[in-house]
Amino acid sequence: MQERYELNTPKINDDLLRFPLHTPLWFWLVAGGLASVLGLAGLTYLFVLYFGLGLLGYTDRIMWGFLITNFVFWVGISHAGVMISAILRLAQAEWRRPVTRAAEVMTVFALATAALFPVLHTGRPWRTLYWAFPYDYNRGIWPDVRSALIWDPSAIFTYLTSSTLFVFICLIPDLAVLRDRTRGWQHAIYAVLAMGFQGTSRQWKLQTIAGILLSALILPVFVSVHSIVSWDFAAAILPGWHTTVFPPYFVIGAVHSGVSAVVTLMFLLRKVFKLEDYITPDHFDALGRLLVVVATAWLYFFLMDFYMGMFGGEEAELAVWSLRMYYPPYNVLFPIFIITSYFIPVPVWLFRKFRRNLTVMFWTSICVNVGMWLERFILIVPPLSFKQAFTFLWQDAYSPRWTDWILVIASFCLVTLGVLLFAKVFPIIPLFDIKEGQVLKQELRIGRVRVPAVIRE
Amino acid sequence: MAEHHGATPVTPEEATRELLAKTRTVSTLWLLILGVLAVVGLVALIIFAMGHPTRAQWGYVMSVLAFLLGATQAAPIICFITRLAKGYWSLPIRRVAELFYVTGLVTTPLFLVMVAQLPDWTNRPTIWTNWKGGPVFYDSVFMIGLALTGLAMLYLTGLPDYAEARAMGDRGIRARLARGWMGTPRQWQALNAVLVTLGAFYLMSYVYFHLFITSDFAMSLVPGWKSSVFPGYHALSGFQAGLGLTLVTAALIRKWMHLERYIPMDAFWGASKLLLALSLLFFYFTWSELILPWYGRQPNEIAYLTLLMFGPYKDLFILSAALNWLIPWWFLIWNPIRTSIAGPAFVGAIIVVGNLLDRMRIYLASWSVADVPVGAHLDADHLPPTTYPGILEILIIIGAISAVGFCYMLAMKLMPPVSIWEFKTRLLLKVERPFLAHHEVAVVAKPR
Amino acid sequence: MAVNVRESRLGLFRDPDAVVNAVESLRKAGFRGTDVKVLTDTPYPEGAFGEETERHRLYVFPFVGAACGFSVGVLLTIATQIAYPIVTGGKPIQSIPPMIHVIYEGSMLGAILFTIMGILFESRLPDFGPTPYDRRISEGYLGVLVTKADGRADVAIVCSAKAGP
Repeated sequence: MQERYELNTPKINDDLLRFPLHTPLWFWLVAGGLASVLGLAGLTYLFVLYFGLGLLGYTDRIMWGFLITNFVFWVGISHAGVMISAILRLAQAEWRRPVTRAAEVMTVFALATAALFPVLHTGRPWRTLYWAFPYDYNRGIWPDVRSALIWDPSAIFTYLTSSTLFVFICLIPDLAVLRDRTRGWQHAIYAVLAMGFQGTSRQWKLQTIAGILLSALILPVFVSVHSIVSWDFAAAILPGWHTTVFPPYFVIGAVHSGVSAVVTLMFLLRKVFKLEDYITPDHFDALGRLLVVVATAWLYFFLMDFYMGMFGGEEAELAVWSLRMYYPPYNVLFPIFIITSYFIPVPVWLFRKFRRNLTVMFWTSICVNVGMWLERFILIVPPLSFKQAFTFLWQDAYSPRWTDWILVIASFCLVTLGVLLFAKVFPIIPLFDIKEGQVLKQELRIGRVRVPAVIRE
Repeated sequence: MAEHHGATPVTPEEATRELLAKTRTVSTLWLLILGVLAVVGLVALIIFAMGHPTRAQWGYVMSVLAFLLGATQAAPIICFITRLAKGYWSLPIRRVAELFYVTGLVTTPLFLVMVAQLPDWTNRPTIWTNWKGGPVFYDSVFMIGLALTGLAMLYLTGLPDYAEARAMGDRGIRARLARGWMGTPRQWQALNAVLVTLGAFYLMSYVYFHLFITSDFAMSLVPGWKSSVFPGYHALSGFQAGLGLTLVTAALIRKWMHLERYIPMDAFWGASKLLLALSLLFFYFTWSELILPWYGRQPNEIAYLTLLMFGPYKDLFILSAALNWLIPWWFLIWNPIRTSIAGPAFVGAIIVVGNLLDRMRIYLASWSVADVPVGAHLDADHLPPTTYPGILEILIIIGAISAVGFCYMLAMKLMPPVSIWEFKTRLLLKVERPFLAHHEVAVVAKPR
Repeated sequence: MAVNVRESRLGLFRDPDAVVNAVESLRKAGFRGTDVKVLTDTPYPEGAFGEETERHRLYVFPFVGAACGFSVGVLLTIATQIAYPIVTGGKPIQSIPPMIHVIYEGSMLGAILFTIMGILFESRLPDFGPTPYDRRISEGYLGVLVTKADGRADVAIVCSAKAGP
């Protein structure tokens, strides 16, 4: 990182605790607005519960539409946290410091939002819950472990629990700072949450080890979660779904959309909370370079799916790809998805000038997530059109309805509200991480140039 | 900790003299042994080919080719990836990996022999659809292109070192290879840009080439086998074996050529983390390959799963899983093993052997059914029996590996096994300083 | 950590080098390494102030947790398949490959949960008892805590005063 700012502890505390300790007017307006949309979504879903799934855009063949697309999308976004936090922590990348907690928090809320959708989409969520949960309910019926749909709850529950606890453990030192800076009922709450953390050498050593050990343990979970989600589709013997590349394809796609979402989030945090000293163009530059690699790997797996679809020339498989690429509305959505997921952002990210331009990075990251949402849609819906033949059809083509749109838009509001509320109560950028970066910061003189350096233990 | 970071301090001038001197100490005895084995292997190949072997027997030749195309041609990619990610821990072992670019001299002719052994391609499932020339023409062009790119990379990375040799009075081939290299800032900028660009090209070519190898030399030969993760699996296991091979070679070179000051434990420590990740990914890709046909249970899926994993090559599958995943994982999760030289090198050796066995499993199985008529189905209950090697196949395998070793050692006579210019870079970028109560902590520069 | 507040003395410093001097002085004055603790608001490299290296057994916890999670996963998958034996897609009643997913997730969840418990346990948290502490440590001051000053409180104070600001 070339950009180095002299940050002392009081300044770091003041800057990063400003929002948790003081509430601006805009917070109430934004939170209120988001909550209203969620309220509308709640009402919408009550309609769906009462009148039935016919209110959604399902057809007799296409029983997974917007809601499941959204589920996969949010599970994908949730992979950002582990990618940024765990992998960069293990790689000892200094630039991760301001980014980790925001990414981890986005993971938690994205995952919690994602977990809602499989429950909602069945139309009778109480049945879904007791069908998935291993409890007899005196019916003699137990979850079928052989179904990929049962692997999902175990994976998502594990990932959600692990991510939440990871956020909490790494939050403890900052809770201690909040405890020391507050009075009254706020102090009491933060004191309980901080659990008496003092900052002894032992506690710091264990914090450091915790970060590394939990990162190493969560990484395999991160890989398994989206792989298991992919098997929801791949395990079905449906042309266009039944392909072995789905697990790595889904995981790398998740990393692609997740890291892009982190770029979006960092831009917004920097702007809204005025964190120019902490979130610098260097961070966007590093994220951009990472995204080039991830996006190219994603394209590779997409092409493998495509080539093997062509391999063998099976009629059903070719028909699915044909539908995806040549028939409306997919013939419009498919090129949009390919261009927005790769062919717009990646050429832009190849240039340092653009990677360091925050506005360009913001819009390209949005572009990627538009494309990745479409990617999930195109992956899921067209193959369903080729399910077993029916003697008659009441509706052939999938068309989302207003209920689908509201529930999808509400999911974005839910995640945004979750992150906003978290940032209101806890520091969204880890204080001790930033302070540690200042402690380890050094400089080396090479000829006439002063090069930033870091202490390595 | 300071003790993790260290080679004994050495000056740039001392390093240049010592490393250039190492090129004169390359063992002539070993060169001779490897050369003889390579020639024996070549003779064995000729005799084998003249004996009109069955396509199943060609599986052994294909196995060793796939092994070399994976392990040895993937090893240099570690350099590119760490150069791109600014992973300076790999500086001491980059040249050890880059020297494997010479493999192209062995794999290219062997590849051309194997591409001529492919069965009739009419109506066969293939990625080439009905393009004229597929697969022979395109595969051959790609192979030659990959080999030439590798040789170009090898030359370019050695350029500054040839110039050092010229500066030390060398008037031979190295002085000629140095051309006009003077080490100006512009030349350094150009070199870095070319290494990154050509390295990216090599990486992408390598990865795509594995698509061609796996589809044309394996999947197209087995009726009903279509697996989109298999090319990725093949490329990844090649990376894993390449890194393992680099660690083994680095450990041997460090010991035999007394390069302890130049190849510190740090490089092995950094590589061991990557090796652990790759070993876990091996399991992940293998599992992706296995779970879907197991779950689908279509007749063709059961047939090819039995052929590749649970039938005549079950023992190879179990051994491969153990050597590529289980044993490496069990060793590398322990910090004391990762923070040593023998540990990662030992695990690397296990992985290299495991990779060879894995390639045998894949290609012996595929080539054993290559003559099944196109459009026919495999029957899981009536699969061909295990193909065992004869003496000729064993000599071919040993000969091919020895030929790579021979070329490698020949290349070491030209280029020092530790890159002089990258070693000097490391001296600039890493210093030891006191910090509070510590007498020495490592301070690593992070330039743009 | 249970610390007797009365027997403890906490010195606050602004300069890390002063902390190094203070710790050294206290050692020379005969205080044991385990009785001298440095309190900071940010992690420093281990041993940076000359304090004693902390030993822990955190690495046991993930293994124990994984074993517990593994057992639960195995029991759950076997029990549910036996309790509701339906043949799905020609697969055996006890199907090992699908079981592996649930067992794997169970093992990882167990490992992570026990690791969290281990981190808290080894950090000696939660600790809601009265402990010597100063809010200024969160504002960048560094604290040197002598937990068993006993009758040598004056010695501890002198060492701290001589160390620096």
